[in-house]
Amino acid sequence: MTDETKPLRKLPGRRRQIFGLVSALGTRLYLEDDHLLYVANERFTESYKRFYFRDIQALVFCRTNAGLIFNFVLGGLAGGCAVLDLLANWGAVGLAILGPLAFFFLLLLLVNVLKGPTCRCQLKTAVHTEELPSLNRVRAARKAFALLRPEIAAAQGQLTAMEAQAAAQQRTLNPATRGAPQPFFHRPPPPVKHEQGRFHAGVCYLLLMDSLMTGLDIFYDNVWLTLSMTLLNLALLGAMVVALVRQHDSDLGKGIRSFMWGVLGYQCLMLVLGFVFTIYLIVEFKLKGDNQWEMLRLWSMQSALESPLLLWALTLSSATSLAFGLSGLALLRAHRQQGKAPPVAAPTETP
Amino acid sequence: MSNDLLACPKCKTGLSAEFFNTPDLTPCPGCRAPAYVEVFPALFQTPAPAPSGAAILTGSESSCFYHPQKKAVVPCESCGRFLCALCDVEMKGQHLCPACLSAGKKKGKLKHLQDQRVLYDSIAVAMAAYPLLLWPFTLVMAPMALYIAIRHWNAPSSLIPRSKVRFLVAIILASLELLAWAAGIIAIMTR
Repeated sequence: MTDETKPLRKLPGRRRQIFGLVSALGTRLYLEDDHLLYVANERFTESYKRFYFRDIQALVFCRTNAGLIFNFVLGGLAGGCAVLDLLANWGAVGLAILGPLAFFFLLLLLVNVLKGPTCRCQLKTAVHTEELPSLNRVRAARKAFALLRPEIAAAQGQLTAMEAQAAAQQRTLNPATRGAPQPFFHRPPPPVKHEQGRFHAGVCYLLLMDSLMTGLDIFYDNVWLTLSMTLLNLALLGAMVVALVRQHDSDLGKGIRSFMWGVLGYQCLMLVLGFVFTIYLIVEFKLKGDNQWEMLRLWSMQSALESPLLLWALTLSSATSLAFGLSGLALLRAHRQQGKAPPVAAPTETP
Repeated sequence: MSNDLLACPKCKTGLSAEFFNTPDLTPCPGCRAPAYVEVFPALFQTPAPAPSGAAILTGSESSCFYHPQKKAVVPCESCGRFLCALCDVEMKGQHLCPACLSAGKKKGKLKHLQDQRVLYDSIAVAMAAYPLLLWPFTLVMAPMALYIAIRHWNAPSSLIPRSKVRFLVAIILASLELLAWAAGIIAIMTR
């Protein structure tokens, strides 16, 4: 029993988890002469899975939004650091702390952007479907597929798009091929429920109210106005969560769905900026973080007419809320009108 | 169960044949996420029937060691026992019997059957480096790291080729820790 050692070829793509305790810390794919080797590093052990070229039935990848979300988070963090540095007059000390932090987040953002869009990749054999976490970028997946294709083709041949479609059709039509690989078990599509969009409308009206109150906040520094705005934002967050839950598996159009996710992103950004501003107030006025009322009072005392940056931020926030509110209402109106349209009459059978 | 052979990795919606081997990404009907599907002939092939081994017809034919009524087709390359088509396990051009295969896997002789390996070099480095955070532990951990590094110097490491640098780092670090302990003890005793 001897084993010949042949050089392994590294496939592009790698997944690293710095703090992975339960799952694998890093995964990678390697090409051997007759199989694909999946290596999962678990700090002190390595696990291996082998997929022989003759057994691989399909390779699938699907683009995900993880990279985009990560870009937003990193951008928000870098922006937050920059805004905090602009707002707080900490001088060289602030710049020395916040500058490298902002630079670090920007660097991560740049790396993430350069790596390209993210994806989820799977490999299917006759008996199972395996997730390939190392191929989590579209570019890496494409490169890996290009390297794998000739190897698999050498083991079992190649199919063009037309041939594959014809073979699939034949398999569906011909009951004799029932012994062939079984169709993929997948979740049946959930029933689509009709959604009026009441909570979506609520979100839109709350956004309009927010726009109005933010506009008022520019001219009036009142603690009750600030408190009302805080409560309004809490209500907005609650309504958004309900609306997002209700739009799931509903007949609402893609536009309204995207709109709601956009509003969520906008509100998250506002939360981050609000958090940054709170930190600035705490540091600037040497405030104890647990005195909420004092904090609210300080918030309301910040006059937008005296600070160009605050004026700019409030105006932009008011305008964005107004734009979101109006566009959301327009989308909902279109959806409701579509729902009211008389159904197309079923064709009657003529004798 | 639908007739779709594949599913979207994200939403598990079935992907029809129009997705197969197209050069561009096509939006999934379920989640609208662009998907790319590459299928190979194995997806449409009927699995070949498993070999069962032919029965002995004449007295001059050799029989399988495990199934005396079946005709031997090949000897095991490890133990030399005669094997029928059912017992013959072909692996990387080698013909083995199930017992040798099992033993080979257990003893780690068959590289292509190993599904896990212990990385002793990583263990040695961790044992030498982590206790530096709580330095008194180095007194116990440094000798252990040294022992592991020396004991497993020639043990098979990862299937992916890697150098002995981790072992070297562990030995140097553990030796330095022990030297520091020795210097400290000598300094206390001679004070």
